[in-house]
Amino acid sequence: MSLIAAAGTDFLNLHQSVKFVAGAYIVVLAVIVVYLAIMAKRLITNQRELTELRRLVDEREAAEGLAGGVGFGLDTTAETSAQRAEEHERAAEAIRSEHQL
Amino acid sequence: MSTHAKHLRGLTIATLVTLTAGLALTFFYAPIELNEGFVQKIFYVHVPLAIISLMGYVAGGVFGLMYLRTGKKVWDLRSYCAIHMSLIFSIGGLISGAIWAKAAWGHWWVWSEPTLVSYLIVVLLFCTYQPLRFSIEDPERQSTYAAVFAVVGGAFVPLNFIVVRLSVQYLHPRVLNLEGGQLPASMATAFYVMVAAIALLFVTLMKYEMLAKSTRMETRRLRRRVLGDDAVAPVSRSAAPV
Repeated sequence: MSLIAAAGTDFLNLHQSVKFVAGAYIVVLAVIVVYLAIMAKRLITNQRELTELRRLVDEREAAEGLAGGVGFGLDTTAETSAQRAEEHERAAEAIRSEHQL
Repeated sequence: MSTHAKHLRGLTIATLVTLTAGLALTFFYAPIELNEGFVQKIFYVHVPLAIISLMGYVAGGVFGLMYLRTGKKVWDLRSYCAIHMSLIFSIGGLISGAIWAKAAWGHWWVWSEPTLVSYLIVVLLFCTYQPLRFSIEDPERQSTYAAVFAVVGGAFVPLNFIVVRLSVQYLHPRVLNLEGGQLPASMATAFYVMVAAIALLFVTLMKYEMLAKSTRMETRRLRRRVLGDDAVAPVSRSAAPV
């Protein structure tokens, strides 16, 4: 492969070449941007769902507080709370070990 | 913080820096090639995309093998994301290659060129990966069959590459060989930096996708815990691991 080191050499089809090079780089960029846009859309959907869940948990906690610790069928005695905490910890551990999180 | 999210910020910055450096070297440092002229600049993005996508397919196969060995879902997720990213990079590689071929050879595609056709065969083979997953409803079976496919497909990639290398007649320029390649130092520097940049981009996007998928799974679990099983619609059939 013969080469020249002089940048800026006037090739006959330089104008045409620039179009091809720009086209190739723009296509690659476009592919990545489209992928990122799809990912961003999914992220927004997930974020909305998390916001909704947070609101539901807040409402539940508020209702629980108003009902003096008994709300939505939740018994919040010390023993039951401990059991629930233990159960949640076990569930979280199962998720962590399953997905190595 | 999940393992997918670890080092993601640093990885993203490293990717952006390397990519910027690679593009700067490509356009301001590497000389213009005598025979092809400015069109040769396409090669700095086209070849790394092709190489990294092929390596991604092989990585998908290795992750599939790890899933079959361990049964851990995370390997299935890694295999899926690696193949998914490789397909995206392949699309970029194929289109940029077609543009280069039009500029250099006067044709968008040359069917008599073994490198092009073999690469297309690999891409088409892996295009069936997602439909295969989608066609299997049971998540366990889906993961197992997909892993077997990934292993076989991943093993096919180097075999395909070697067979094409052994073929005598070809038009495609050779960038890398056992003697260290045909590139002069200035071009090689730009080329290897671009390969590193594309590899980093691959890893970063793959990690982002894995993080997004695991976050989605966690959200579903959280929803089930907060609202109960009945309140959460069953997971619809999906090609992605659930």
